[in-house]
Amino acid sequence: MVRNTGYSLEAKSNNSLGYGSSRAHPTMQFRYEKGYLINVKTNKVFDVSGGKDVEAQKVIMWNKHNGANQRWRIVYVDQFKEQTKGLIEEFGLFANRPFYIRSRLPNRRMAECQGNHDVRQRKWRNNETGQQWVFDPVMKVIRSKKWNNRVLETSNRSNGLGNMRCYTPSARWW
Amino acid sequence: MATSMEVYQNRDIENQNIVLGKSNGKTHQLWDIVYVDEFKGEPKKGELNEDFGFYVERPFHIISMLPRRRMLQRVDPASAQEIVIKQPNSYKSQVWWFDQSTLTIKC
Repeated sequence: MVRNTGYSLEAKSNNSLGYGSSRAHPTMQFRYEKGYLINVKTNKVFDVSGGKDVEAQKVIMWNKHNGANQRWRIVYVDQFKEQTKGLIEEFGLFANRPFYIRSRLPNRRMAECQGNHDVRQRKWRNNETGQQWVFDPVMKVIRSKKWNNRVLETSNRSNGLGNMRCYTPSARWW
Repeated sequence: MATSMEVYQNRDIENQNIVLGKSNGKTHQLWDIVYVDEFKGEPKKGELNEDFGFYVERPFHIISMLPRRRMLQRVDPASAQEIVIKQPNSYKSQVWWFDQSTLTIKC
């Protein structure tokens, strides 16, 4: 049973995406094609603004490119089931099952969450939970086994490069 | 000069005139011939609208393919009328459906 609020998604001026009273108008018509949600009039697509994968980030309309911030999956509610156990195939990791991240360099060191939030490679130490990580299937993040509130993060610089950190998501460093 | 039937002013609205214009290959000059004995009619509830890629009146989530897999969500109150991404939260504002009568995505 669908709920009808009388509103539909709408491509508005200045590349913004919003919603308004439903009407059969091209600014309100979108097709789903190869992972893009495309406005039938402008051919602009849904785009997570700035490519920032953060909570409550705005979604806008933008010219199509190959970025992941423009790709979407339609999952029908009657088929949606959030997987919280076993292998999460999409990420290649088992849910809530501690693991090491081991370098393939000759010394086979482990990625370790340091007290100052750095991530460094260190020799394996038995029972050192700072070297253990857990995939959280709900938040889709890799958590430190030692500090459960810290997650493995990359730099948010535009080129995506920089130090890896294990940091508390609610207190971002950028 | 080659001419083609076209939707006047490229305006895709009900009752818009069809005129003859200089051929330019644009969408408003392109037409399909669909034989009546092959035409299935408009998709009904639960059927796929192949042109738009949605099942009619079948609720769905729109999930970003950025790493956290957040969902598209309508921001309330309606005065803001913004669309954002948020973690799955079971709110109805993360549920959408395709309306065949207006060919829009409703919330």
